[in-house]
Parts: sequence; C-alpha cells; structure tokens
Amino acid sequence: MSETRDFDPMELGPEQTDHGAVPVGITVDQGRLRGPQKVHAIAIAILPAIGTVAALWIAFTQGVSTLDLALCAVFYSITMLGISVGFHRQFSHRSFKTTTPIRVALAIAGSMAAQGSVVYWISNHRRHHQYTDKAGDIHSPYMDEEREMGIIEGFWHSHMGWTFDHSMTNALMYAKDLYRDPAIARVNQLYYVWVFGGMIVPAVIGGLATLSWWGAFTAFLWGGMVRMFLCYHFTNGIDSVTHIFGTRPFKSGDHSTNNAVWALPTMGEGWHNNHHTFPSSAVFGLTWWQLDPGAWLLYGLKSVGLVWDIQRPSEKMISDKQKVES
Amino acid sequence: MQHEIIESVTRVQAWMVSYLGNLLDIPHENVDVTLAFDQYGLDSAATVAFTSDLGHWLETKLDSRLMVDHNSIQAVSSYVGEAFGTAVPA
Repeated sequence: MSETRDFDPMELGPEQTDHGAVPVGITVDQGRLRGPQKVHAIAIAILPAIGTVAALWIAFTQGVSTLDLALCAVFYSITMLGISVGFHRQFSHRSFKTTTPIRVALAIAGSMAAQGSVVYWISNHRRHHQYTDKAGDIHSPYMDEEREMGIIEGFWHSHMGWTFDHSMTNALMYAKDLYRDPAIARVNQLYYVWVFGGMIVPAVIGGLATLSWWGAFTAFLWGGMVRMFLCYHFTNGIDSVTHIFGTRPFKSGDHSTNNAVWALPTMGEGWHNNHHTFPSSAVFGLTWWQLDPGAWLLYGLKSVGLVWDIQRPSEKMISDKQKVES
Repeated sequence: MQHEIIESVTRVQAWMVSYLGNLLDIPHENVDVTLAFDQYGLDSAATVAFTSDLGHWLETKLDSRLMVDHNSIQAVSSYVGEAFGTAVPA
C-alpha cells in the first residue's frame, strides 16, 4: 500500500563539515549525459516562454476562448499539485501516506511540469535540504558550489542558472527508495511520455471541442506552453524568491522565507520558512490564514480514506521553535 | 590467460550482483545477470552513478555510457573483465 519510512530522507549524503567545501560523493560526473541535460534545461527555459508570447499575441489580436483559459487553469493546477503534493511532500519528504494509484497519479502530474524526472527532482531536492544555502546546495541564491554570490547573480543562479550546467546529483545516494518502488521507477523511466502527454492532451481536448486545428493549436499554447511557463517560474521562485524575499518567523538555520504572494500559485509552497523549519510536515500553512491548497487536497483525500498519516507539527513544537527565535 | 580472464569476469559479476542486490534490496540469488538494466527500473541517472562506483572499485574512470552500450550485468562484466584482466580487485 505505502512506503514505510525506514530512513530520514534528509540525511542521505555525508555531513556538511564547514561552509567551504562541497561534500565528497554527492555528485557524479554525468559524462556524455551533460549534452542532453543542457538541451532539456534550455528547452524548458525557452520554448514555453516563446509559446506564451505567441498565446498572448493571439489573445490581444484575436481574443482568447474561455476553454483555453480553463485548460490552462486546470492543467496548471494538476501540474503544480503534482509538484507540490507529489514530488515535494510525498516523494521527497514522505510526509503522508497514500495508495499506489495516487502515488502514480501524483508522479505523472509532477512529471508534466518538465522539471526533470521524479528521481532527478527528488535527488536535487533532498540535497538542497541537507546543505541549504551552503556549499553542496544545488540551487542556493548564496552559494554556487564553493563560491559566494552577490544578490543579482544569486537570484539568477537559484532561479534558472543552476539548471544549465550542474554536476548530476548522485541519484543512488539520494533516491534509492524510488528505484526500490517498481511503480514509481516505471513512471520515472517514462518521463518524456508524461511531458509530451501534458502538451498533447489539452490540444486534443481543444481540437475536439472546436472541431478545428486552430482550436487544437491555441489549446496547446494555453494548456501546454503557458501552463509550463507558469509552472516553471512559480516553482523556480521557491528556490529564488522564497530564499531572498519575505519573513522569517522561525530560525531555520538558512535563508528560507515565508512569502504570502508566492503561496497561492505554488499550492502552499510559499510558506517556505515553515517548510524548512518542519521539513517532514505535509502541511506548510501553519495558521488558518496561511493558504495551503496542497494541504487542502491532502485533507480532502483523507476524508475519503485515500490519504493517511499526514505529518504536522504540534502546537508545542511550533511554539518551541518560536521561542528559539525570541 | 584465458582462465584468469574468466576469473576476472566472475569477480566483476559478483561485485555487480551484490551492488544491484543491495541497491534494490533484493536477495543476491534473485539478481538475473542477463536482464537489461532498465528492466530493473534503472534510468540513466542510476546507471551513471552505478558506473561511477564500479570505476571507483576498479580504481579507474569508466565511460558514462558503459551500461548503455553493455546493457546487463553479464554484458558489462564480460567487457570489463576482459578489458581489465588481472587488474580487477579480488
């Protein structure tokens, strides 16, 4: 039914001994894979941006249909919930339990963001938690390997720059549990099927609904390109924006922030200082006003028995952490 | 000489069986050396890291595409055993 939590997902690589050096063994030389990796990084950075410009130009000159906007909103929500609830809360942190079909659905939905396969994403994310904002963190705005950065370079590096030319995180050190999980290992291998499927399905819906090739094309632009553009920048903003701008109610030992603006479009990820303080919590919004759609989905699924063991810090744990601050 | 190569191939194979068994948490006797790596759920990130660790054991640097060009434990160990001969650790 579900994975047992037989390890701490955040303590997989060697310990950080000081702020100076990248710990040994956390990356592997990807050799000839470096080329395809760079092509993927450039493609996801540029193609959805071009598609978005085209979609907006068509919208301003000829208008945009309600169907296309709805396809964008629905596929955006599916993809971002796949990233936040699937890739992040389930696979990286094991912060709740659920059935295999739901885990597969979440892994497919997250793959549609084209931010790398589930193993790639989780390996990088666990490494980010282990060395947050220190040497070894793959996408910190403060440190690029062993080099400190200024604010502008740091923003660029953490938002997009890191994706183009990084050494590959050692997936066998950081994501062994995913390879041991046959259903998820299979979803991982079929990564490009989900990426292209996420572009084709909205186009098919648009084409059938309007019975035209033009309808298929604009649906592809809105449900595929615009959706991926938004997913890319809102997700990457969790690495850049919410490590620079916002409040730090807890002393989490890094630069993570809470940012209300970023919270809603990222399905609750914007409460990033909460998350770095309580990384094993499935719930990111810790007060009633901290909107956390990812947690709403989890409690919804829990009410019908499809999700259980949702981790959340107790009030005492939260107030103890706040005392450390004051 | 032929005998030494067979021994080297056997040692590489045993190392890889043990590595893959530990990685996937399956009993070593259940590891099928003829099965392609993707049948075990591995992707390129996994085979690159697997190759890197095999290289550490052999104290050399192996081509990152080793496990693409030789897509099973049997194929890799035949190739590596022959190429490295007596240099394969006991």
